[in-house]
Amino acid sequence: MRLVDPHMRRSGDNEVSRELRFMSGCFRDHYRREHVIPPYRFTRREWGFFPFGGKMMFRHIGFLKQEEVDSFFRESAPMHAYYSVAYYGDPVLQPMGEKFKTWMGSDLIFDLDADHLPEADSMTYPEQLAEVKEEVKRLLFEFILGDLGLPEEHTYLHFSGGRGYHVHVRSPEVMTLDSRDRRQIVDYITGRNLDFEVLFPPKVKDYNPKYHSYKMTRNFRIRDFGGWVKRIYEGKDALMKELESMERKNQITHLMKIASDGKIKVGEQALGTIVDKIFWESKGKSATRVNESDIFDVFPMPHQLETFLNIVVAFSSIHLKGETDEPVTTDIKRLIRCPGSLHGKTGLKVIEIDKHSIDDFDPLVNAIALSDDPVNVDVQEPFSMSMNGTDWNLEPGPVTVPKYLAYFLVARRLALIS
Amino acid sequence: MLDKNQISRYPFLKEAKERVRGMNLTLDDMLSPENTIIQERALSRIEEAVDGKDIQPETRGVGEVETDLLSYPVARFIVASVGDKHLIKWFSHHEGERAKFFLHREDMDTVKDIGRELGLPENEGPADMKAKEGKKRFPDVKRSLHRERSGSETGTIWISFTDFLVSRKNISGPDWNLVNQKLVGGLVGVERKSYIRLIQERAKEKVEEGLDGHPPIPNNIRLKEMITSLKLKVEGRRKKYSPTELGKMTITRLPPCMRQILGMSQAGENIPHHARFALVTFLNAVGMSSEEIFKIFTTAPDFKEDIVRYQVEHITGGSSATSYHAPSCDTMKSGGVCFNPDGLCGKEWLNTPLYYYKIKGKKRSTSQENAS
Repeated sequence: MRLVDPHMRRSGDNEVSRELRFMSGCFRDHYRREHVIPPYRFTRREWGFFPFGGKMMFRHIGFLKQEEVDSFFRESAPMHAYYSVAYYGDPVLQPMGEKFKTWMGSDLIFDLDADHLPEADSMTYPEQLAEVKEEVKRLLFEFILGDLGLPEEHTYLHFSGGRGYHVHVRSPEVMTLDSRDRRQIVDYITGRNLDFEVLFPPKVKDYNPKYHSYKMTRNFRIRDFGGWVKRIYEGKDALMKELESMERKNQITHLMKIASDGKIKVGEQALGTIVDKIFWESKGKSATRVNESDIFDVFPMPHQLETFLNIVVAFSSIHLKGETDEPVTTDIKRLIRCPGSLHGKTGLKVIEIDKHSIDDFDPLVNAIALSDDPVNVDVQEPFSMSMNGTDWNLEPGPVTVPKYLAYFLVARRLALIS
Repeated sequence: MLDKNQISRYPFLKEAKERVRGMNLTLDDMLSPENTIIQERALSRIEEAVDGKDIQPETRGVGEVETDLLSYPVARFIVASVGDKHLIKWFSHHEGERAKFFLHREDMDTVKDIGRELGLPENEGPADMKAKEGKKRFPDVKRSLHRERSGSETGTIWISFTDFLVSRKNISGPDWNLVNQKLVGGLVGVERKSYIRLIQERAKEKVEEGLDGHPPIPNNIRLKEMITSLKLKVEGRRKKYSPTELGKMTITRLPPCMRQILGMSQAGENIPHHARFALVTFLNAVGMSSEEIFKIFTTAPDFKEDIVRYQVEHITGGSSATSYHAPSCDTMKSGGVCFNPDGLCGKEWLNTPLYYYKIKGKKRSTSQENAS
């Protein structure tokens, strides 16, 4: 996990900065008021904490009673709090190799974060959150509860407190899956290693026994085949709908964005040919064909079909955090942010969300945990964002804001304590 | 219910164990001189595994069914007593192959019964799929060209995706990736042939279970003879192709992927096809001869001398017009055989395992690169 040590102004070498004192004070007040409810089977888990002003995480910690968890949070008020997705016979055992010998299973975790979005840097925090929310809905309803059919009563959705969402699945059948098995699940969700030769096997067309001549085409199976066959057809339908109302130029830009998002190497000219074949060369006849049948026979060249299919896959798949190298899902020893704790970089609370009311969930309203006591801050950069229903437009200089906003600004180095 | 004949074909099943138990024979009984036939049968069972022989159809007379059945626990005991990890792999692989051989000849209900016991129970298919089964708009060419041999009962078997994942673990290739499956509501739909292949994996695991136990060896001359002769035979297979002399290749320079694949092959594990291909082309590129490369594969459980020799020769260009290039990192990744990439692998300009080998040869100081 990435833990950023907030680079704070220091008033003296050994003294704690005012900002850090303010931030840890906020958390201390909060944890005195509110209990963290320990997770399912918390005594079997390893815990890890990152203190305010700390340089490293303290891990291999274990708790045996709920009161211990409670008093730990009250007394230490950590900046970040994590627990293991794994259950161990001896969660505090070290080194890790020895501990892992007592491994009993792990929750199945999916981590969705704004950091993968290609244009994340140019987006505001609320925009990032909104974009990730759309993706988490698809992950949850189409993949986790849909194709994978995992039981809803064992599936939990959490706001991460930062820029994304976590899904925890705790049903018995997934607990003992190893890292390799979980990689298969990640590949399914991200469309990695998808093989058109298997999904749409090549077949002979127009065979002429007289000359033994034939053409090759693909066996586009029926939608009910399920799996990615169905995903691709549905993705095609949705993508066509988006493209239909666009001008040619915008169609190309749109496909370009999806392609670069999915790391597909393709040039503008090639995409131009693809939209021409579908929309502009046959007075809409081809578009109707693509829409109404699941055959894709409007491309004269096999590579055009392949590019189009690849784009549809990129359009329909989910982007998990760090999906190519080390996604959270495959790491069965991972520590994950503890629900009920506060996120040190935002002051927002990691909270469970009712899966069916995710549309109504607004992190910048519902995940606010700190009080609205007034705090004087010195704003460093112009800032505008809506928080708790109020639109804030701040110019550099001194201003009084509610504590939750003060924390958010200070933690992101947008303001100092005055 | 399985009949007597069937039980002897799948001796790792609970029913078979119970049947053996019902005969009230102790290990000492089975190892006694009047049961030489059982011991002989057990020994040849193991020897076939060491030799990598094809499974032969049964040609058994009256009474031999019992011998066959009893030879399994005896063979297990002998394998465990020899206590060689290669032998355990070879034996369990061979028993898995045997199970597959017979399963292909069973009717569907029997296959499903055995699947259920080995942790691959059939599930009721997704409700709306049932009605449409068999009404495919386009016949599958691949299947119509290679029609199943015997008793081809078509139809999809639905198994839970977690059972699928656990069973497919050691089977490689795009056909076996979850992303390419018929996955509906947590169930994977497989055809009979694939279902049997998955059961084979489960059977292999079941056979392997507990073989590394090193049991106390009773003072029995016949048993000791068999153990000694098997040890020789196992050494023989290993020696015939001599401990891998890696020649010009420097092991410390190997990229982590190749090191892993080589390690797997030396541990006698089955290597995914992609990995095998990658290793052969790679070693060929760094200057090993086909004979040297060939020797590496001799410990694989599914080793068949002529086949491996042909494959290696083919890839290295000895028996075909083209010789193949070693795959790039991208190809390794998409083949799922990019193992344990380290700091050097992570460099943007490092795009092939061969380049890694080259770099390591240039730089003497490798300590920083090991941190990942």
